[in-house]
Amino acid sequence: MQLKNINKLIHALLIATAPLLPAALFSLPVLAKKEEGTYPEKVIRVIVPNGAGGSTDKVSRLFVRELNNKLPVGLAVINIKGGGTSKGAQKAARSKPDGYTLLSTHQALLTSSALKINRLGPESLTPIAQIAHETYVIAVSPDSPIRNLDDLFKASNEGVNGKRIRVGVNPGAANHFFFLKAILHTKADVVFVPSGGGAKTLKQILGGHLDTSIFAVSEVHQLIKSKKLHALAVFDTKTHDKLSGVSTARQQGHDIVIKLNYTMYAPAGTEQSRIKVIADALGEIVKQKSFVEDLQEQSINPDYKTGAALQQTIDKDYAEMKIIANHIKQKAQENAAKKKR
Amino acid sequence: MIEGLLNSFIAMAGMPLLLIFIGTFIGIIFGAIPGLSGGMLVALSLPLTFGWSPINAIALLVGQYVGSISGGLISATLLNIPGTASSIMTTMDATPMARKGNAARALTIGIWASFGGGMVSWLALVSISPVLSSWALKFGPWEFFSLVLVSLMLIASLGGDSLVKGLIAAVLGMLAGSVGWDSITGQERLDFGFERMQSGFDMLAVLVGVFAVGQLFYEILYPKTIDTHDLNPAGKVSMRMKEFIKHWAGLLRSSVIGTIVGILPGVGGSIGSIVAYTTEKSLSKTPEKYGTGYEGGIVASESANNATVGGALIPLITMGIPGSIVDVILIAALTLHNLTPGPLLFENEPDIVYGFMNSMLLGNIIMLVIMLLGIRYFAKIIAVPKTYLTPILLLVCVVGTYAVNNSMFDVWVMFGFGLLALVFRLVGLPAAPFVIGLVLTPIAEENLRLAVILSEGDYWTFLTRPISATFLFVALLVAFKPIIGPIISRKLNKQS
Repeated sequence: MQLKNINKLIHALLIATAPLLPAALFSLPVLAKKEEGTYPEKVIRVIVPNGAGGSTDKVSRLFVRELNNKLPVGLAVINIKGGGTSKGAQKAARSKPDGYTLLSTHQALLTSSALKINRLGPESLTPIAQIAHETYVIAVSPDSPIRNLDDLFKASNEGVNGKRIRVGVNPGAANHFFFLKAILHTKADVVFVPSGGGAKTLKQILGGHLDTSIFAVSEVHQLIKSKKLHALAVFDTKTHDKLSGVSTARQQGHDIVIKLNYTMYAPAGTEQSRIKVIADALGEIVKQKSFVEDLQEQSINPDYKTGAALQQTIDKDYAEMKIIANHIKQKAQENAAKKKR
Repeated sequence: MIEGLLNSFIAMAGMPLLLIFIGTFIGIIFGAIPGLSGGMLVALSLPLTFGWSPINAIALLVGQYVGSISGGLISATLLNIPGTASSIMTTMDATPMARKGNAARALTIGIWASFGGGMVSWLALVSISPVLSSWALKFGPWEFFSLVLVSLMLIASLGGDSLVKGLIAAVLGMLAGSVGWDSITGQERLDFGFERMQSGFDMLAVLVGVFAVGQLFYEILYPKTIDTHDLNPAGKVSMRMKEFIKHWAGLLRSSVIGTIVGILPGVGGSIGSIVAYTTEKSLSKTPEKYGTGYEGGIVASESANNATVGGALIPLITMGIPGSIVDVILIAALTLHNLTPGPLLFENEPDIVYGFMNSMLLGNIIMLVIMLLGIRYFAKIIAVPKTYLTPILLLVCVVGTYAVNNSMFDVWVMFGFGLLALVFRLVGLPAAPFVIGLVLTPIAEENLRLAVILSEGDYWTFLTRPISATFLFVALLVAFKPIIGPIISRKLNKQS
């Protein structure tokens, strides 16, 4: 390579790095609409611990879009994925508790903490507000002999045609915990297959390679409507608008409620007055008709909670997740011992 | 399905239609300028579409894809330089015809052939996809793993001039694709202690790096000056339908060949046009005319390369496997909009599938109109000095890559892969197998391990399932092609 060419390359790199300046400005307070002395007065970073474009990211961006209109400053979404959301959650927890770094997540914070992937735990963050929830539904292939929850619990214990049932999950993720939550009381013995999340698991069920799994309503309502999937039960307190004819677990005599709660957090130690500013803004947002319609389009329902009520929900959820995590670890040890033998 | 397609077609009026127009227009320009490619344009535009509705994103990107494949014809005819790799065979006849003073005629034939090829492959896309999609739904992880293996072998052997170089590039891509969390066990791997590498490389940053930054670096190091005095297409921009019709059989054959080559995973326009051109030449009663400015040669090459677009969209929509390099970027675009390409796309998001089909159809029609009307002006665009173009494009690369995740790390990843693409080019390694290897490795790994778990550790299941066994056999054939090929041709020669 000639010296002249190397010079040209350096020149090009300089040209290329020049635009980094405006790019970096995105995260600087210069762009903020200033209001001296009050909170907030500079750009707020909202960490989403999932990849850009995923369902959590999409929903989080809906909140952020509305917050942008409500607050006097801008908000920027930062996607930090990895470690079952623990990378982003830990990054938020370690940030300065000044209200300028927030976290938008759901029970993945609790599942990753219960499994000790997130070593800081939910106590490293202060919940600001729960904004919405997404209902879960268990589904099987239409030709499956499992037709309702009782059949599922029986099949979980005894298997189908002499074989243990195969359940598709994303190991350690919310759908794994949620399925276990549904069947834990049955002392079930099922095979968990690491088929991944939503669409990947669905493909395996429709192809006849898996027996069942648990899904967010948005992932399956169309397939259930077109009878390509059979829903066993909806895990909510009432039936879902998009799943007419599908009864709730309660209606079938089982008091199981499984919901993914979209919640915003701040690092522990953040001033309560600052938390209140965000919580109040979110409270106003969930009352907006257009916002509710945007959520419902994605089969998500507004469900606003804050303060002690929210903390209570999180504590209860976390206690359940810890029991399930112990069960997962115990099963893993049993399997490892079986393999050794 | 027809009703859904029609409804979607009506819904495309408005913003999607405008975006298809813009996409096709810019695509033609990028295709026409040597050194810029459709892959680069689609990769550059991808970050821009973040936050748009998926239909709008698809409209722009598919328009660009169609436009860029067609635009290559302009420089192939006027300068004897293929604007894109898929127009290599077009230079064989379009340039001699142009040199004889019939440039406008060569371009007109090429434009109509491109349109014809596009329409044939669109028909294939619309008719084959639903059938293949419901068939692919029955594919288990065994079949998907074997199919990915075939794709990797095909792209390694057909993508460049040497299988070994192709395989080296593919293996390097596979290594880069293995960085990050193990999807089954959650174990960190190949992160070299860098926390930001634990979640793997951001696909968008990698694609922009390889397709755009690498090429721009190359342009800076080895700038080409274009002799612009030939850039005024002489002759009439019209031709008699009778003249065109006499090549209908060739057009149809080449379009079918292009479509089939397009369906082959990872193999794109250039191979399609080479196979079609060679086939037409061997079938012709006057093969000596090919390469001398013969209309049939232009028809074969241009119809086939445009036909690969529709063909390549078939495995993308039905199985989530990229039919060509540009499709890798389209897959990234779908992922960015929380959509998973594959057999379920038809069930869950039929609007997206119809959006692809209608964008291709409209892109093709718009391409025909724009190119016929604007041919004389497009010819002038080829001469736009790179001194202005390169910094602007680099700026778009940086801002776009940064903006999606608000991450500087992604910008460095983009530059890193840009430099890697430059090194690949300088040492003669093809970039296509690298990118396909990178994209397909996680799919292959996930399906391999899932298959083994489902068959309780029994690897023989790959051979006892007929479709999986067939795919593996094809992969083996492709791998041993350099050994088996010469033996067969020697035997055939002896017999003759």
